Amino acid sequence: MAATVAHEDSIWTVAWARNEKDHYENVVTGSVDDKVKCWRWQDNKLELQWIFEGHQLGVISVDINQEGSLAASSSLDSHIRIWDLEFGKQIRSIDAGAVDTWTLAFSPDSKFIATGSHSGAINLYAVENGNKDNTLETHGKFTMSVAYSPDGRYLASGAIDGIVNIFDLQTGKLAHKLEGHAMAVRSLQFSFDSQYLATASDDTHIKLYDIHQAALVATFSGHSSWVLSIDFNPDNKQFVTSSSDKTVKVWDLGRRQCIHTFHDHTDQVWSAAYNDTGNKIVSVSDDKNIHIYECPSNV
Amino acid sequence: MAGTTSVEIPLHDSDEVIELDFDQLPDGGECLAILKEERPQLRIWNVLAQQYYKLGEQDAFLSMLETATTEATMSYDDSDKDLMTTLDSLANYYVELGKKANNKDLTRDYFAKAAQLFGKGDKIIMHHEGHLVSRGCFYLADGKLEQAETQFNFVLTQLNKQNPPALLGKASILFSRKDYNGALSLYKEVLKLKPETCRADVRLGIGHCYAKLNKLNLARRAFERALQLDPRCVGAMVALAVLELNNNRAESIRNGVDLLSRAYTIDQTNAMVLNHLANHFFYKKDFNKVQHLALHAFHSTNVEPIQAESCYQLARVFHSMQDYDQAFKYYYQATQFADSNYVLPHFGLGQLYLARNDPTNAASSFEKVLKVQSDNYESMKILGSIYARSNNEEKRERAKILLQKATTQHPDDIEAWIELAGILEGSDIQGALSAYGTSSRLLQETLETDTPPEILNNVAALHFKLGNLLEAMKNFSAALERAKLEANESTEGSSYFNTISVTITYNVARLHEALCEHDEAEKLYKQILKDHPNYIDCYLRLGCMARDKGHFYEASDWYTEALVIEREHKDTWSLIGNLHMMKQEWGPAQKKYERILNQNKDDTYGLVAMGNIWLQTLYQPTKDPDKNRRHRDRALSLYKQVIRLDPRNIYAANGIGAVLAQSSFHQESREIFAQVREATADMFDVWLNLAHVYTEQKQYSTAIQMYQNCIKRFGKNQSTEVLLYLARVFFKDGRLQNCKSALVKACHVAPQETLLLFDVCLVLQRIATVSLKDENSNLKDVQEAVDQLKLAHRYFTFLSKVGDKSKFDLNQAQLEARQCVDLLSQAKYHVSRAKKKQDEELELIRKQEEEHQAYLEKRKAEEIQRQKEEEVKNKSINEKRSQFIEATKKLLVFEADTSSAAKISGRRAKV
Repeated sequence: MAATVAHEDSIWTVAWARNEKDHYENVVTGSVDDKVKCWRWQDNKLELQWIFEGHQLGVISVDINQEGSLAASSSLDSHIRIWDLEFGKQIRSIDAGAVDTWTLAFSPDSKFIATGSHSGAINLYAVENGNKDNTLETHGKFTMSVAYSPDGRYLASGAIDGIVNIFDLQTGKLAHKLEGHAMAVRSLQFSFDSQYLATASDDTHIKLYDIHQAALVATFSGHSSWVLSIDFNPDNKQFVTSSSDKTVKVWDLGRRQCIHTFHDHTDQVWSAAYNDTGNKIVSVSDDKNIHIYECPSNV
Repeated sequence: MAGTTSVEIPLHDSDEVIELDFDQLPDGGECLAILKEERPQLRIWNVLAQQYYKLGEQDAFLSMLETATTEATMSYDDSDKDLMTTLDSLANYYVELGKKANNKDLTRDYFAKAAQLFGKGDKIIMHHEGHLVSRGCFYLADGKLEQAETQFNFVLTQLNKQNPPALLGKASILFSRKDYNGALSLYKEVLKLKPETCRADVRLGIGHCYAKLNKLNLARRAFERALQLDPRCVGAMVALAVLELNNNRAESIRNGVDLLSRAYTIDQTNAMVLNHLANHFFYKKDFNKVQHLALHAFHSTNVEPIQAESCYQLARVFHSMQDYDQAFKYYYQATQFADSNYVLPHFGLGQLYLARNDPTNAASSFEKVLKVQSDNYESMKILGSIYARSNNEEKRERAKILLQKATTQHPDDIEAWIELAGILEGSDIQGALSAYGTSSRLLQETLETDTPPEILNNVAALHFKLGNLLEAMKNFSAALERAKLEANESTEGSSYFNTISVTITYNVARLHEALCEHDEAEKLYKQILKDHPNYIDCYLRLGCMARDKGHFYEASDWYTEALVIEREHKDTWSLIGNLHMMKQEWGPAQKKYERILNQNKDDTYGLVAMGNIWLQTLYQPTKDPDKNRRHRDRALSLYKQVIRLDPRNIYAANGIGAVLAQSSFHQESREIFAQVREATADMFDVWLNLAHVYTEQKQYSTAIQMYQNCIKRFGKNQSTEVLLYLARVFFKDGRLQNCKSALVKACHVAPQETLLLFDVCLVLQRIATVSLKDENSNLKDVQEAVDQLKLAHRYFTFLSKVGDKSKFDLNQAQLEARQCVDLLSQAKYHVSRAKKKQDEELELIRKQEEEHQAYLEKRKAEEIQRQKEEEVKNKSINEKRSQFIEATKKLLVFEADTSSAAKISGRRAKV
């Protein structure tokens, strides 16, 4: 639908949310060129709104809070930075310590930012003051991905060796350990009803788990290379994945199959996400482009 | 002497004679006694000998002539001519004996006797007509056509151009040279000379000429005439019989057989008759008779081509009775006796070679058939089929040509189309698909059958190869459906079709894999294994799928299952070896490959794999140069061994290139890699190796391009290995920002690799150093450099504690951290310098701004002044202008006057 050369180097991460106050739809991207950019989606066009500078060594991950007002970004320079999307400025920079931040996620109440680390532990930082609030120990390997369940009960993490841990945030204890993958889980996501957890792995597969039973519900195959990102549609009927095979795939949760494949990118696609109504998808790639698609409907 | 019916023998020393009537000749012995007693002239001996010969008393004939040479009176005129007749008659008789003898030694003896007699004749009258003709016939019988022709030509040109035997002799020479028209005209000439007395064999000759010229009616008439002239002419009977049999109608076949039977009653030793009868009984399936007749024929002649036919008849009988050893023996013998045009035994022999699983000899037999009969369809097809199974490129090419020719000749031969499709599969996929298409269409049109599952499967496999995965799936599904249907319909073939179903299911599973539908593939493999637990490939695929998902233990389990089925399965051992290689377990990998080589020391896959292990060890840091050299030599000798076995093995060539590069023979290795890449553009390793060599040769931009192509072509953008190489060459080329970007990407892929982080920090430190030392750096650059140094310092410190000791020296990280501290302290100077510079610049800018402002104001004042002046000026101009307008008005009037005046003056001048 729309393609833009958006950064000077590969784009690694994207997030899309509507600001509850001004109702602007913000698309935030992060790139190897060290910049975080905020774009406004208006009149079927992306307009560059802000350029946030300060990171070094590439921006690994961005997320937008529940209200759509703040973005957080993490980088290989071990810093987490929080940006105000309304006024276009940095609010806070959190020094996470050497390699102690990787991908990050806002908690559903927007109070915390969770991020994985070199040691495998998951650190929770308070948005308000940037202090480390809590640490969840996995005693595993490098944690590459984290996700909160929308009801705020669970936090899941995916490790470089494929191990997935689910923590019960009420008790702060490990609830489940899932060993379905043997290769890196670079992205995972809960369904909006907090029933399912989907994991995307370098083994080219996506696995769907029932979180209460910790049971494998389905395995999705179709990508020919690493699955780099996954995002659920708010309608809870489908999810989107992006892959090193240069494609973006949309999957039907009920029928457990791929319903559409986008071949628009010319290089690996690091991240794909829905907008808040679930009728659009954004994807970013090593080809430095941002693509926006009309979401295919479930038939 | 024609017309004489008697001869008179003058009695010794008296005027009386004994008159011997030819009709009432006495006993041969008695006559000889008379001759010996009375010793008449030689002429009389000759006449009588001829008479006895005609009576069939050959002994009398022989003894009379032999005695005559010594006992006869030769003291009369022209007695030398009669002596010539005696000698030549004797010689001719021996030639006849020689021709009829069924044993070569005997023939040779007779021919020797004849030659001796001809020699005697030569000394008496060299150019005697009859003598020369006889001698010509002798050469003919001995197969010396050139010499025979010389004799006949001499007679016909020098002595008597109408000499019938010479003409006949020459005709038979022309016939054997396939000049049938030439032979025919000679026969006709003889016929004209002596139309009424002409012997049957002239007609026979004419008949054979017509037969060869395919004028069968004329041939028939000639043969029939011959038979009229000589009702016992076996040759004519056989020839007529062949014509009848070739007609291939029940009645004419009966006639033919009748003729052959008549010939047989006349001459039971005529091998041609026997062979033809044998041939007849073969079709009657009376194999006993065939054997009897053919054997008899074989022993009745020493003419090899006829013996070849007899052998062929025998072979065919054994072939039909499935006694293949005997059949083989006789076919073989037939080929030995046969002249090059008689190809039937080669065909039979070829079939038996095939049955003996000896395609090489079979092929050479069928080639012999094709050499003579280039359009022999069966041979074309069989040869095509044999060559299609060959590994030799040329043979396969020939197979293609043969089968294409076969399908052009018989465009409705389904079998040939299928064979053709099969051979095209390797070289011309589209061609193969269309050939399969034709065969399916023919099947539907001519046999009204659906395309068999085998063809559907092959078509699907071809689409699979072309990457038309959905088309492939469609055909596989159809194939599977057909196979299941066939299995249900037929009882005896059901196990065959079930087997096919399994194969197709396996292929479908492979297709699912290609479509990345791994769960489907897994389901099918497991389903196959449930019914067919010995299907090794399923275990291997399940293992490979597990391996690709990173489940190495599960993969290993599947492979082990395969080994339970077959202990020495080479592919399984290779896969297990490769699994060890992936985990860098060189020792166990080596053991697995050795297992393959123990079975077959020439297994090229195993040899290359072993070479690769030794090559790998070269890249491990070692302090023992001897060990290094030893390993290098081992790798090299393994690769060389493979090249000896298979000169086109690109993996071995690539290995040799790598060893050379490792020994710093960069140019040489580059040439090898370039060659390998020419052979295939699909080998990742060789692209990488070429790029490495370019790097070593300091051709950085080429190397960079090579690595980037490699990443793009093989989708290696997640390969930290290649990214690291790319970063390295960027670094060498001084492109530090690109280097950083490549390393950062590698780090992003594998953040746990501390070596990558170490490299990132090194390049960060370098960038900062360059930036600090650059006098032109502004404050922002310098501050960025300081930030970079701080970050590098932090990571170096971190790495010195938790880095991966096997990948780099942790002390080095410590040293680098200290270096960062030093640089940071130096940075203070650069920061203040940059700040000073910036302040100066700002001051300068401010001053410039002021100057600019002043300039602008000055310009403005000037402008106002100028405008004022302009106004004044304009005013005066306007005034001047109105004055001017006024003035010109008058001027115009005045000018008009002058111009008319000028015109008038002009006119005047002209007048």
